[in-house]
Amino acid sequence: MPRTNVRLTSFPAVNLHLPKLAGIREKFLQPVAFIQFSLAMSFASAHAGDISAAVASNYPTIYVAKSEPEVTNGLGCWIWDKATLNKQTVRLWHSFNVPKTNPVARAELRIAADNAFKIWLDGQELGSGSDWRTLSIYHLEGTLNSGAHVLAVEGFNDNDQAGVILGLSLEMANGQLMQICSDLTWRVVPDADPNWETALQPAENWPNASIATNFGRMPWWTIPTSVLHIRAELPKPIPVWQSREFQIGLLGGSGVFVFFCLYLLVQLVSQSKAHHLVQAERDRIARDIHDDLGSKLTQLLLIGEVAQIESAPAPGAPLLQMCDGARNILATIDEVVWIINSQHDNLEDFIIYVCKWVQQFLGPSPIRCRFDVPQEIPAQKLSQIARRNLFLAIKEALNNAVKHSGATELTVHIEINGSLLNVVVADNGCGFDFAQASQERNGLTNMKSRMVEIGGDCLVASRPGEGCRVSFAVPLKQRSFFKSPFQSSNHSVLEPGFPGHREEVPPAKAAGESPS
Amino acid sequence: MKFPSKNIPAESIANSTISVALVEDQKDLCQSWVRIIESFGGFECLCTCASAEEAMCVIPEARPDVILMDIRLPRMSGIECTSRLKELLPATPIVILTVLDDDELIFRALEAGADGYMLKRSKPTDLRTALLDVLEGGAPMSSAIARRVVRSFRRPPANPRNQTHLSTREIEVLDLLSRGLSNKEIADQMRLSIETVRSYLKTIYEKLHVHCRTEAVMRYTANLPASSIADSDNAREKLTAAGSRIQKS
Repeated sequence: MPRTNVRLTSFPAVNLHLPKLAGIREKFLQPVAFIQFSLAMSFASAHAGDISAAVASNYPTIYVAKSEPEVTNGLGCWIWDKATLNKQTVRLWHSFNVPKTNPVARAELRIAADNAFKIWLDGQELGSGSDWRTLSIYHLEGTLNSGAHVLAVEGFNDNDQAGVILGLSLEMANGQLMQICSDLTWRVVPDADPNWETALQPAENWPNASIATNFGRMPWWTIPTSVLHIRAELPKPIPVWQSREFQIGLLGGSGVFVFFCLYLLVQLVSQSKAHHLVQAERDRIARDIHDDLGSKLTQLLLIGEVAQIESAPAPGAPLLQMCDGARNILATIDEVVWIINSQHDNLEDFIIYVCKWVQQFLGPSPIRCRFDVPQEIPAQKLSQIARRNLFLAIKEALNNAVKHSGATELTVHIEINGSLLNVVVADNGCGFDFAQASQERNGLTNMKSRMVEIGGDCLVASRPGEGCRVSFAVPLKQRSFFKSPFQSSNHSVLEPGFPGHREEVPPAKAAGESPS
Repeated sequence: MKFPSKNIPAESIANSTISVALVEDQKDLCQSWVRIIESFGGFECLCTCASAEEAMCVIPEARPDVILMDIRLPRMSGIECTSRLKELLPATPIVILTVLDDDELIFRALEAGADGYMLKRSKPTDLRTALLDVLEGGAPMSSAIARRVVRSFRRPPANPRNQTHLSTREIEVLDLLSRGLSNKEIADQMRLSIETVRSYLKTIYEKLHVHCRTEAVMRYTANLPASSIADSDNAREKLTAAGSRIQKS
């Protein structure tokens, strides 16, 4: 029979029992094997397999009638337990080390057992066999990574003699060969330990295996009757992330992490609550102080008023001044209370307050005030410092209007463009030219610096006889990471021609007179 | 002699004194007020109460023409007292007095039923004008207050049964007010008389009172607190004093 190399997937061998004939087996083997072959061909017709042999068929196994001498290379001795009994199961264990520096390129495992065997490598079953005359050769594909590995063989003896013979040859990447054979170093596992197939260390009570007989000696063959080539996959090493220890570690680690996050969250919430309480308490204290101050000052003021009544019809000027002074202080207290009250840190309150203040401020003056304010004001936060700075800047503009413009009408336009708040104070007064502006520099530069401080900008446009228009812009969202869109500009406060102004101021005049 | 308090024509005011009740807890201020009011000529201070509880006892019986109420009182607040007195004396205008110009507080008082407000620091002449204005049926409303009124109506009413809405004209008036127009300018723009504008404002306030009134207020007026009994002895003295003053004039 021509020798054929068969590639197969691992498949249990067809079980053919033949009586053991002591001594004269070899003589009968050849024709018997031939009968086996034909029987096998008729039995195994249904199974598919990848056969690259000259014998074209679908059979999973092909028995080689005459086995090659090379197949018995590397086999150890026939090993078994000390005692041999009928219907006995013996577990044989062995571990070996693959060196780190030398990865395994190819591996071949040869095994035969009287009567049957089952073999595991690293806990994964490679296959089994049940014919003592057949030598199974497992061509192992894949890689055997460095470290310890475990061979576990479970042998079964029907009756008479018993033994397992095994040889594992590992071909390293650099061509070196490593041989593991069945010998005395193997251990017998007495009890059915659940993890004996994967144990990397032998237990104390595992005795060494006993040699039944050396290879080639009676009662077993020198050359196996048949050779079964099986292609098997090496057990894939469990990737780190699938191993139990890693998963437990990861679970434990994430549990700790989650608890830590919860702890931080609780801390954060309680701190922010504390912060709010402190803020509320501070507000309340400030409010009480100012109420008290205001109350006492009002008392003084009223005494002053009574004094005026009693010194009628000509109350002295100092008395009048005193009462007016007290009123001014009370107005200032009003403003302070409004600024520090964090409940007003929103756009709507700001707009209402500004309109009210402007109306009150312009009340005694001949200037009529108008508001152009959106009906619907979005609920937007406006920080305390932004409120304060913008309010003081508007106050400055109003003061200028009342003192210098001689206007009859002043309009306050408030507009919200996306995240920008625009406030324009426009009057129809006499305006001013830039020559005069240099005297007013402090007021105007003050406005500019207040706006810049909150990331906004201020532009003044005026022409003599054309009134004055002061425009403020404040970004609404806090953009601490990015620069404000205005900060990069180096505008002078008196920049002519800002958007909306009808006529351009002649550039020559502006350039000549620009104070900054 | 006393007059029905609302809509007193200006002429009749000149003929008789207007009685003012003052609710103010600070004695010095109280004395100064009394002095100032009596310097007005045509006004007299009917009674002064140092707390809301005292006011609840004295004022309903004293029946002043106008009530000046401090917004900050020791126990019951000025706002609560306002709403209670409004239930008992709906025809008597109440003017709130405040030290600091706190919009929120003032607006709450207006919601509770106050007819106007004054800063305590106002000049005596301004106070006089305001009192006369309120007695004539005026309802002072600034642009800030107008905005708050509109906002208040956007919220659902305190008592679902008191669902009221502003009419288009009323909304127009509020809108013009919030833009800074005076009553006269609004009248010009809407082609109405000033009286009509005033009556619009009055109606707006009344609707506001209804909108913001809660059942709790009704309950309060039913049972007065026991603590007021202690003040009632004081109150009786004051009542007799007030009565004797009325007899004098």
